[in-house]
Amino acid sequence: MKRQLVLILAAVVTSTGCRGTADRFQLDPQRLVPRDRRTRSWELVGEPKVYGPGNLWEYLDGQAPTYLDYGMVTCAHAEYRHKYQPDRKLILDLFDMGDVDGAFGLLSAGRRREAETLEIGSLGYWQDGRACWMRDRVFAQVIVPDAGLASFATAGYMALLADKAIDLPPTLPPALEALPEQDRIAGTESFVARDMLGHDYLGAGWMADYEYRAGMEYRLFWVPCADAGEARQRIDALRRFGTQNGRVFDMQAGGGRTALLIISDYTGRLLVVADSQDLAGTVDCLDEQLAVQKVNALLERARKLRTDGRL
Amino acid sequence: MHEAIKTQAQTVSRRCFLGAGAAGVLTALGGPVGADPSPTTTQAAGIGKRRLGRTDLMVSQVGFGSYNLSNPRLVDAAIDAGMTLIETAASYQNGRAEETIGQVMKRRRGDVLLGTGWKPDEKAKTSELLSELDGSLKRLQTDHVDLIRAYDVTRPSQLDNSSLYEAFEKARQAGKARHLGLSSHSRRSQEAIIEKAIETGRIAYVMVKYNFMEFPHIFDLFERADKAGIGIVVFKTGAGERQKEMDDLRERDKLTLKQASVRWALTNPHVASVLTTARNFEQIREFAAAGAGAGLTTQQSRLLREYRHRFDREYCRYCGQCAAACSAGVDVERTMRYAMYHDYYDAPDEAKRLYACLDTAQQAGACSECAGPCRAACPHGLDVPKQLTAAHRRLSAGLA
Repeated sequence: MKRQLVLILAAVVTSTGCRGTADRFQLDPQRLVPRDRRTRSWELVGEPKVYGPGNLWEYLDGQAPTYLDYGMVTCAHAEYRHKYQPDRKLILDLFDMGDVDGAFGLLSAGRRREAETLEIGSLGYWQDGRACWMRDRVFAQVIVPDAGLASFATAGYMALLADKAIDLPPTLPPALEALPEQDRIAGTESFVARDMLGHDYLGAGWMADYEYRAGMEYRLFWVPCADAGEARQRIDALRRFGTQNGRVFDMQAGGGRTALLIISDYTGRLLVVADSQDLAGTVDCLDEQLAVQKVNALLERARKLRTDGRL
Repeated sequence: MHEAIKTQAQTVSRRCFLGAGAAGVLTALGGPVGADPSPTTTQAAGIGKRRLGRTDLMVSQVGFGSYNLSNPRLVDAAIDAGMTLIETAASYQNGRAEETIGQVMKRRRGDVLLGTGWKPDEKAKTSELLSELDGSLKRLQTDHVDLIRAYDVTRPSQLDNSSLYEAFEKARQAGKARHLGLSSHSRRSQEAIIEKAIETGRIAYVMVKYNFMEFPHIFDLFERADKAGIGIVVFKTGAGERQKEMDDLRERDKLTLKQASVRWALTNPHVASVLTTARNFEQIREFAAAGAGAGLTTQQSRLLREYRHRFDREYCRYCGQCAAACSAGVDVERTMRYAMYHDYYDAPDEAKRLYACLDTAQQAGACSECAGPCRAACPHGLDVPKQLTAAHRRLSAGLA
């Protein structure tokens, strides 16, 4: 087992240790899934495989584009089979996503509401027979195809061991701090790499769902922009879309900010505000006063993150 | 794109303007030059429909693929535009794509034909597949799917698993699924997989790659599959989508390569539907316009000819045949891919960084000194050493 684990890690380290990538994370070959009472019955199937953006399709063809959108750099993939019950299988995947935003984005893209929180790495959850977590720029998962309880237990243990071997701090994206905590529904935070709200011109952004008025929900989103001009271009594009597909109302957001309320079948009730460097808004919040407050709070937090040099 | 929508939106309801908009765009293009040869095609004002193999289903000839979907309003827009074949899979974002579609299905299930996928390997058990389908139905908020497919089949042997057919039969009898199919992204084995599907006689439809650069030879196989009653749905019709280099043509004729490549696939009468992945409203409109008709317009035909002419001898199909001819061990496939990222995916830094990860021997630095046996090995006539030398120059520029 130890030799097999060394192989995995050697593959990962080799793949990440190339020129120009001195700051890549390094995994300690001695510490990933060490052989002990719980793991000794699991044997590696074949050699671990390492994929890059150029050949990820060999492993995840139909799904590869999303991993690439989030900046995937390297994937180390290993399969284990139980020595005495060969129908039982475990899969361990480690993705170097290049940065913490990419790792969080991928983690959040696959998380559903009923996922159970997993105390591992920076953030993790259990869902449909897989443990998914991130640690800094690494997104990782242990998949249990057979869904047996014994395999689940081993998978959790293996995930913990694998996480320990990732020699990176349990960092989360600083941008998450821009999303106000009050009324935020835990686990709904996400980073979208492109096509925010279904519009190509909005690009990448952050969002989370919020609860208000007993059981009602709305979405708060934030699209960081390069400058005021870009923010203006994007809100203008939304205005055109709203005009063509529904109705648009100019709103007051204070502080010299441009604000629109767009109501259409394809946007829902979309309040959007542009300031000097950001675009933010709510979707389907019926309380406009609350929506403006929340968006302004977000924009203030974003500004502070910039001032502090954390974005 | 906005303008076409605006014009229609002022005069018609939401439900019809996207479809009508599509027809409007094509009228402006001059209309199809070739009549649709498929006898099982119907054509309303918007996206046409074709029969799916021997099934009783008439599918929209442009379908909506849902990978990376998280916004239910895109599903509404796609249905409004006439893209009423919706395909998904349990594995897409761990079921989130299905959940997103489910938010719409609880309101509009009757408007669409819905398919999802399970991923069987040779050892998948009937109970596991049925359990997976139940999970999908729950997320999709429906009691049945019209299509269930073995997802991402990479080997013909995966179709030997009797559990696949047993699970489908049980699902069919329980009213949970109507037709069984498969999908394959495997460039190298999809033909063998289609052959296997014909041989089994139990597959109602296949979903495979098809584009105007790589697959002209597959016409006969599609014809045989069609005759065997297998419906054919295709995807990845774009062939690299070097749209940027075609801007001169696009500006002149107001059309896009995406639209032309979809139309090209639809000129094959054995193709029932082109499955597209629209990630935003703009792309839905683009694909909907392509699906409102079947023949290639003169301009689209010219665009594809021009594209083929420009890139046929530059377009690497990643077949790997040149690799065997290279005694130096150059990683031709990766070098070509990274050059593509550099030139066409707006990712020059990433491409250079990836290229730097190759061993020196795998890089193409020495290709300019080589006699180039890979040139003769390329079945598509690419000047491989020339491309590798040029790629190396671009990808190594600025590296320490």
